[in-house]
Amino acid sequence: MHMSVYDFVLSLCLISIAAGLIGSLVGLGGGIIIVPVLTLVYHIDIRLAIGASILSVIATSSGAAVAYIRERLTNLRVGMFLEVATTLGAITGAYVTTLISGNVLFILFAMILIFSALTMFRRRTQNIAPPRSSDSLANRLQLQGSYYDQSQRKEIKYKVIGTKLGLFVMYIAGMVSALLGVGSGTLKVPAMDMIMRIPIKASAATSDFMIGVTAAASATAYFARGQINPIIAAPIALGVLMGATAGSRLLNRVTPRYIQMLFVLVLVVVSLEMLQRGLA
Amino acid sequence: MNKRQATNNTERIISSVLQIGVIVSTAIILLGLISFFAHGNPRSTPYHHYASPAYSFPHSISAIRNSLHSDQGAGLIELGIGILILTPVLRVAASFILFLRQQDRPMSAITLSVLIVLICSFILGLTTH
Repeated sequence: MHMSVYDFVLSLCLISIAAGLIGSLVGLGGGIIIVPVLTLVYHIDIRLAIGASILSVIATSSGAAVAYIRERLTNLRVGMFLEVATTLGAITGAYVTTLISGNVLFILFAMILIFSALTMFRRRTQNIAPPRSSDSLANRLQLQGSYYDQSQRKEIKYKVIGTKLGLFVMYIAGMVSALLGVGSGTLKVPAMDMIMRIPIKASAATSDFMIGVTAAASATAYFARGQINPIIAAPIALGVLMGATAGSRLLNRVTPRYIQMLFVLVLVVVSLEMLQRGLA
Repeated sequence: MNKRQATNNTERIISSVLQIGVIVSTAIILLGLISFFAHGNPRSTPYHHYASPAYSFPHSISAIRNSLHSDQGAGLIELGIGILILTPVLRVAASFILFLRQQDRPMSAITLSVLIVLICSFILGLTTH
């Protein structure tokens, strides 16, 4: 493609605004949009595309978290608790070679995503808070939370369960994302929503909060190796930050069901992308 | 300070740390981009000249520091990106200090272990190529 560097910077910035907007609403980094756009549309080297994608995850996370924390959509205690597992998983994934082949991993990951999408699509009921959490770890760490839902005009209170299973899935999520170079939010949000019974908006906002730290754990290596090219990274960082800031003001105003459906749609797209890479 | 106030305080400070990181890195990246186009990089150059593995740019602390004197923008952009990458780490460090001051032992231990894992990953990332 023949394009001037000026047009490249402007067009990439506009696409990144959309990536940041969607990424912040569903609790995933912008990577699911950034990597295919860079490689398929602009024919950028995959190593540079992955470096830029890691940065877009950090930009989504920090840009969105500012507002989510103030609106108490982010459950800070849950996020920090689960970060222990995701960062450890990310390090394991980055330095450990697996016994399973990459292709099998991609297909396995695609199947998990399709399963999560189906489960989330079929579950129409809201998360019903039990009167008291039976999970002793959740009680000891005071993981329960509440936020004011602007779309439903009421205070949503919730208890957290399944902390141990949740912690285990987070470790796997961190490892898989480092191994396959995909964002870990695709597994984090379903784990918080389905296993730990955290409402979808709080799950998305808490995932947004966590993905920045998980990505930062691997970003230094990409930065030091020179995989974060300034001319690709600058428009992406600026665009994603703008999009995520706008998205974070939107999440609380739309209904939880809308976020669920948007997430299901994104899961289907990502799982097809993974299937295609696994079968290639 | 009661518990509710302590939580509000924690939320406000953590959110501010992230906001400052975002504003500072945005400003530096934007300045770098403007300076890139103002200094010897014509807008009409094909983008593949820059957006390819063949284009070299400063990406170590010393190279970025040296490039800032004779800057064509790339070093400044990398500096802003470095700050953006460090922002979540600063957020974890700030949470650790806040929980420690509130004498919340389990949360202090949790945030400290995340911080240690992050520092280890930084050392691993900077040393292994």
